[in-house]
Amino acid sequence: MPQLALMIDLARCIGCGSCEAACKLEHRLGPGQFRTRVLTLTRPDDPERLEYVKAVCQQCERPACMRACGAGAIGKSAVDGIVSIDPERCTGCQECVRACPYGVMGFDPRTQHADKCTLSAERRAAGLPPACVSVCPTNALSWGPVEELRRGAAAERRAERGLDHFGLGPSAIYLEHVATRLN
Amino acid sequence: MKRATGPGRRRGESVFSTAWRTVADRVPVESFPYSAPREGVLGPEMIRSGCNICFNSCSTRVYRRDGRAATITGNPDDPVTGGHLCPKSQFLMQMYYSEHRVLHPQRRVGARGEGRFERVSWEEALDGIAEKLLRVKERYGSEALAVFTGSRSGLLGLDGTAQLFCQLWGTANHSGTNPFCGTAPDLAFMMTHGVEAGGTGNIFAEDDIWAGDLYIFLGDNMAETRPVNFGQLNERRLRRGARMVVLDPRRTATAQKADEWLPIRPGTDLAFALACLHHIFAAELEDRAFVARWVEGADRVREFVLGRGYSPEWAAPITDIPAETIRRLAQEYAETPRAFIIGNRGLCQHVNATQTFRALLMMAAVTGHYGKKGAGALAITSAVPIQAHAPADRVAPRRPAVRRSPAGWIEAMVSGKPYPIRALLTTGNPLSLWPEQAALREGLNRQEVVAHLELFPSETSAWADYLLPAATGIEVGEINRYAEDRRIVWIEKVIEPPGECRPDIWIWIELGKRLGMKDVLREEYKDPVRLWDEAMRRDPRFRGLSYERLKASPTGWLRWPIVTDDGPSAETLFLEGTAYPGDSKGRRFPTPSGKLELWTPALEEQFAVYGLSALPEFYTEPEQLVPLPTLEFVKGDADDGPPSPFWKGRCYANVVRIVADPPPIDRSRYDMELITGRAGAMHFHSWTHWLWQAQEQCADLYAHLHPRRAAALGIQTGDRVKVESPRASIEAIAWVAPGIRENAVFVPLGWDERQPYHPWRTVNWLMPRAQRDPISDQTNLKVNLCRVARA
Repeated sequence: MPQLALMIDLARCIGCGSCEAACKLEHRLGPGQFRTRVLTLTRPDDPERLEYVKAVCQQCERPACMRACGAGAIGKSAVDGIVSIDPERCTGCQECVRACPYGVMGFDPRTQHADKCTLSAERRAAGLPPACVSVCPTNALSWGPVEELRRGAAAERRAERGLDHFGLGPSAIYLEHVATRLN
Repeated sequence: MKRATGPGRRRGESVFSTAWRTVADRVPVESFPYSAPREGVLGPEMIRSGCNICFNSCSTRVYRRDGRAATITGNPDDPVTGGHLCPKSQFLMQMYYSEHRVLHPQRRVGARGEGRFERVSWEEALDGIAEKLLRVKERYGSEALAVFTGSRSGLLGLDGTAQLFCQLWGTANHSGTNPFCGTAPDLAFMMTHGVEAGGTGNIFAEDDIWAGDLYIFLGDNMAETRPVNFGQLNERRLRRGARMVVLDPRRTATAQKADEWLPIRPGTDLAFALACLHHIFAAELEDRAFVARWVEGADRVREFVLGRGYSPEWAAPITDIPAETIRRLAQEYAETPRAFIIGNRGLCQHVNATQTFRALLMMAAVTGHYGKKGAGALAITSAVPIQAHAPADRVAPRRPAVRRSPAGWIEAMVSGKPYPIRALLTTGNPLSLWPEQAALREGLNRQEVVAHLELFPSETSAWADYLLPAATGIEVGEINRYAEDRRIVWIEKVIEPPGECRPDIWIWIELGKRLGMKDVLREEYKDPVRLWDEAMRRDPRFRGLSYERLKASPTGWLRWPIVTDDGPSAETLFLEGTAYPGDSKGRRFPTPSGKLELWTPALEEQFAVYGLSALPEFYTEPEQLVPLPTLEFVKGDADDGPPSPFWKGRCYANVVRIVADPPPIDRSRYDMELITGRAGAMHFHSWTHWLWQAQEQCADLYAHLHPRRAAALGIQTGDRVKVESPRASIEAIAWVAPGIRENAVFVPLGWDERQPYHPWRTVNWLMPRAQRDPISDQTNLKVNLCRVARA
């Protein structure tokens, strides 16, 4: 089975934080605990404009978190490529939190173990889409096998924003803004 | 316990990356939904309901287990929301199960504003309030009672029980949030096409609002105020390649998505609309056939606009938009058959609000963008004709309200003029949301009784004599309305309220019992279904919107008007060849002339009462960085003024004249435009500030400054800044980012001094109470001069 991934459309995202809320509600996360956050940043192509970027696990081909974990608690599924944490093995040392260059490894303060996005594994098992995808008011989020997503984006002639600055092979796809149309 | 870490930064960068940690420090780690059971949250019982926070009115599904709401999701059978939700709906359970809820009636023991209370029984509280009200009535008359209902109370509380209470008691000083919200578009629509609410009759559908080729947004941050509706609209726009233009002093989330952002000077949208009209007339771009058949008064408007010289060149220095841009947009609008104008609170909260909306509707009318699918003008309007009425012989005689807007009540609370207000029953949070907070506090100190019905102990609670624990939404059973396209959503009761919390309707009925009102405010109306079906749906246009039908609707809503018991949900109104539903004369537009009325002698006569003409002469707020025509009061809040014709004489009006020169203000000291609005999609008014997750998403009160301006002031993101107006000063945390006029500062609304996570003084300390649109009585909350400095 191919790598599963999220596709995030920067042209559609309005930064409303609905995906964050859905994630917390679904996965019962507490104050200060995040599997995803929406950031407000200056647009790289126009310093006068802002953009909203959903920060979330990239489900990397070579995850830095996995390499950093001394307890062998982090694994990448051979079936769908999802990176997940075995809470039984996690010691709560937070080396993975520090290792992730995307800053998207979460931490559960009560159980003292790392906590991360699994594309809502429990929901997917029940035939439902990831929680964040299910609520997004702007249809900025989609999910599926990464190559399928990429073909869909190419068919709509959408450009991708490359985010592999760290050589980890991130799977999440970020679609670039579309050009504005001035009459 | 070690606190969590999380990825990245958000709006305000260092501001909020520290602020959310503060929320985490102040919230018990067990707060919902942390570690709540997640097994089987999607079962076993699914109840169709709705979100009661804002007026996007999303239909929802609530999953209940063992009498508790386990989770809330969107309703995939709703074709308008498509099952999507914004963050607020997903915070609802943090509201219902919040540890901050007021759970018992309380009576003040300390001084006003101190916030010290003792617990009392419901009997003691209601008996005490009733006794004090009777004393006020005896001393000052029945009109000395003012009743304000915030949007949290819902329409059953506001237009149902509170309305009946005020009629039986004998006071016209009763208002919801409407005069801070959308009374101006209500009136503009009423004047132009004859009925109050619902834009130009368009609906969210593939062949109507979603089919536009051009969307012009003015003063409307739809992306953050109605994220679901914006998302669904923008989805179609991107697929169709439709153009979107946003006029706003800020590059809001909406403007970030647009093809074009025009940073207009706040308060000058009327000048923009007049200049567009000028170009349309001068270049003869009207839809002549439509105007000839369907528009009344277009000639007078043309003469006026051309005669006054309201050209794009005239408007350019006023609006800060180049003349050629105005001309290009006017041309594009006139020549694009499928075009929408979308204006909201950024137009409403100005002294020229009604005329601004009318001028935009004139643009739509003379170019034939009216009464069509795929063309029109939208605004969230407040008025929905669902009001309970006491029998005529039980309505106590009463003088007109001191003013339509609660901002105009402050004078009567402070000075007792034109007649005194000495008792205030209020829901909502005036001490966050009304203007001129210092005067309001003075007014509250002169009240003989203040009772506050609320979910959370706010700053307003601290000034009340009685604090009554209210219930809301799925604890109650109520309706919500989407006023942009007339959907009514039934919010089904799903859970019991906590503690001794009671629905607003219960509180009004119980208080009424003690004051001899039980024959009208009947015991059985404590059942929201009976109140809705038996008392509130009196308007024939609500005949088909029974509880039973609303409940059975898979979409979660029905759209009014439905004039028969089983008629279908309404679609686009005012189409050629159709009659307005229920109109006895079979008219397409239910105005006196049967046409769109831009100017008539009758309108001219009504406007003259306020000292204005129905022809939209340009004026704006007195505090602008360049001197522009403004209003001067001939009769202000302390005078009784004439009964306001557009409010059927139920309130006194201010009388004004337009003056070319504004009152002097020291522009070297007050050198920045202060603008306000919603903090973001996570907050709505003040009540979301008690929900930890909303506060985590946008914690601190921020002051948004442009990087160049901030550099000149030596201010960086995260600095504490002082924002000072001629009335007062507040502090906030600077957020330095592009996307705002360089000479403006934006400070969002909704904070107060008693909020649990990030208490701040509300920006409304800085807002004046007496800068109001005489027609709609809407208050200027959008542009005042201020100065900003490091605190």
